[in-house]
Amino acid sequence: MASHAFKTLTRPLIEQNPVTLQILGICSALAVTTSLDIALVMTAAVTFVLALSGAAVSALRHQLPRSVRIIVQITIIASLVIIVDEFLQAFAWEMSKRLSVFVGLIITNCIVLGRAEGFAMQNTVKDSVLDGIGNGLGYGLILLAVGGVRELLGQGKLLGVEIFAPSWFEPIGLMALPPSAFFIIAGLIWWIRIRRPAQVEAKAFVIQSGRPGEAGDGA
Amino acid sequence: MSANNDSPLKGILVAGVVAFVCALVVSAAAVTLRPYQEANLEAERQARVTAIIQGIPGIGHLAEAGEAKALIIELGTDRIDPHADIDAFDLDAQLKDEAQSIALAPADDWAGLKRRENRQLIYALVDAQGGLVALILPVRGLGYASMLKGYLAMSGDGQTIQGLEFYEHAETPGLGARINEPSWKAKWMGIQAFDDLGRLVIEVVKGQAQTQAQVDAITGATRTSDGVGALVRFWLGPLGYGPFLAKLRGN
Repeated sequence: MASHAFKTLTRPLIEQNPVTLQILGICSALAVTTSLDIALVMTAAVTFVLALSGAAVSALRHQLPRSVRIIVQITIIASLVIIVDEFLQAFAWEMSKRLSVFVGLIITNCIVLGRAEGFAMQNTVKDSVLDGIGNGLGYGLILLAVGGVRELLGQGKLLGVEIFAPSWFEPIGLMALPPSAFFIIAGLIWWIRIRRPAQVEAKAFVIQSGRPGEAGDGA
Repeated sequence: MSANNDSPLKGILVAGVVAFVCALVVSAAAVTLRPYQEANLEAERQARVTAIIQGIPGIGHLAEAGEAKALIIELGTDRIDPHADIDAFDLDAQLKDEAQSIALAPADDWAGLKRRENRQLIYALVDAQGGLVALILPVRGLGYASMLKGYLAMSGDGQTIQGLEFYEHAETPGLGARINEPSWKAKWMGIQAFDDLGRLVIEVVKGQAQTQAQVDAITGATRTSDGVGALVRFWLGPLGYGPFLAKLRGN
């Protein structure tokens, strides 16, 4: 039982990572990874929302009519996100200004609704909480990796502490811009799939040569 | 129990109960956290006042010495009320009181305010000889998505803009929210708001500013930029601080 719980918690870290395997939550992964501290706060916020929305949806799952289940899930998620937003505005004012709309956009983060609909609706409250925390941490792992690389190469710092002295280090401007997150996430996906070939998707279609007589795959 | 789970009545009931509970929780969070948020907003406002004062050329030493004097000005006139109680100044109460504020006709309401208070709290920066160095004027107006609230710094001769800071807005991040970027704020520095005849000439233009009275709009945030231009014009105009500044300019 303990190993089952452990598995529920750790599966989403690499094996079923919501960002690198399911390619969800990319929007915020681009927006809130300019530095490590902002990625940390976002990770905490998403993990909190995932765990509690998983618990609430799971607790209600036997009472939820199919026709209104998505509405109810979104209502619960939106309420949790608003609470997180209010807390950040009250106790982490500077951070909430930097996160700006991206806290509110957790509501539309596919990972949250995906776990509510895909996992919490079929599983117990305890498993749903563990799955929520696991997915939050799996998402956070990617966020922190991207945020760390971007802050280090973009500003020469980590968590605001100088790592590369400005005397020799020229910050890479591209790292401050969203496209760099795309490159880093793509690199991570590539690396993970080299290590775990099972994650490589089957080709959706095979490109055929356009020249007559060369049709087919080299046969 | 779950046999009639899909009846319409059950759907309405469950959705209603969930919505009610969520509403309660969200309201409770909003109400209990309000004082902390307002304290943050107030700190932000004060930080902006400090920032704008320190941004005025050659003013840093005055601000540190605490030479900013609070004054109550009667808007739309050139009068200062010497007996006004500074601590009792309450903008919201004025705007709710018919006797302490005026309704703006649409043609006059450039900043989208609907009502304008009759009195406003301004800060005057005075040097050691008692000369007026600069004025810090509260301004506000409608941007693209929100009410922009901030401060405008005018030189002591009532002629030149010496800074613009917004402490509260909800414009689009990356576009309208760039009103608080140093590069755009710098464009307001040294703008000649009035021409030789005392006419309000300041404007926000697309493309390249050509004259001393023009400011480039923010690319991709035309309506926010226009809103800032309109609110600056309103507050420097006849219904705002215009008459008072005209007196300072000596005409």
